[in-house]
Amino acid sequence: MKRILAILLSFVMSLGMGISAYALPEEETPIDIEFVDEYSYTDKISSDMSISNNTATCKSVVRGDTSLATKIVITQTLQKKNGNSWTNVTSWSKTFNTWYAMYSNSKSSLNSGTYRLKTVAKVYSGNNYETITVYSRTASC
Amino acid sequence: MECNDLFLRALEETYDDEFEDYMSSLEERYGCEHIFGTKHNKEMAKLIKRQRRPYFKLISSTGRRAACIIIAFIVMSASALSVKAIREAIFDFITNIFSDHNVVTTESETDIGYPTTIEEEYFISELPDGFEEMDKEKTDNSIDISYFRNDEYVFFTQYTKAAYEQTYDNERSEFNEYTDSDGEQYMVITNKSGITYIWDNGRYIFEITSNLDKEYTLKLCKSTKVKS
Repeated sequence: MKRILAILLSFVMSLGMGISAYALPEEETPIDIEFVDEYSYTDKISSDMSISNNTATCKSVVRGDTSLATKIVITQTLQKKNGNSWTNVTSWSKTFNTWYAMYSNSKSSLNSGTYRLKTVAKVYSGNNYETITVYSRTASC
Repeated sequence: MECNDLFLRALEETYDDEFEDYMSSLEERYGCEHIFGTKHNKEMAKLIKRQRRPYFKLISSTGRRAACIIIAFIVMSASALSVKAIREAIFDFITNIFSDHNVVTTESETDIGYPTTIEEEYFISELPDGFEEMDKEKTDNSIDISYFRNDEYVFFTQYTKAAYEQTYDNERSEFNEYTDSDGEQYMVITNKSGITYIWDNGRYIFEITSNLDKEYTLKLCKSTKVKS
């Protein structure tokens, strides 16, 4: 009985490990959000990056609720893949005293590799704010 | 049932006889009678007593039941690891639904034939008089433009299909689908701030968000054209 139980448990655990291994790449480049607070003031957010001629063009767009959002602080971080982790290449930040924000930057002379854009938006409603993080899809050069 | 009983009785008798013979042979060989220890007899009596209880079958399968529950729990936990969000398809769009936001993207297998960069730029040909372009930001994958006329606004977005991925609040917003008289299919997001139409024209993914009324906003969508 114990043997059967042990075999069954081993099988199920092996199965679970397989599923975890499948989920790992998504965690490396999340398509979703690492959010601290809820989407109380934010209607939409996007993070886009393209690379051509070893230059990355980065764009972040944030739209808040027109009647609630009062200020948006965007921080863009260009990240390079280093094995299984990501290292920061450069960052930019800007404050928009309105309910929407479009923010672009570029970085030239990139070394060959895989990059992504991390966009962190602090969306304010008066003195309160929520922080939302989104990632672009990856691009290589 | 009767056959089974007969068989068991026969088996018992055979065993008893064989056992008696075997024990007698031992006694003859070693010249002493084998006596089981008190502890052994107590254990045996206990086992027999347990076996006679009406709920013995239930108890004897406890281990297996526990194993089943543990396995079911592990399988469910393992399954939970793989499920990140509810996925819902609206026309060509995939919506990953989280607790407070939706991530709208496209099915990656359907990118074939679509440009991988913005090769031709589109514009809203019937933008009402008085609207002025306030912001325009672009990458090789996308263009975002905002137009304002006092408090009225129109946001126009053009994306390559492969790069399209947008995150929307889903607590204050309502997601629907709409097919117009020409057969064009739209994902429609409505909230307090306005209305958003998202559609795929076979080349690119477009979005128009506005606080104009929904019919007029739809008219703007239908008026998008390639810049000459």
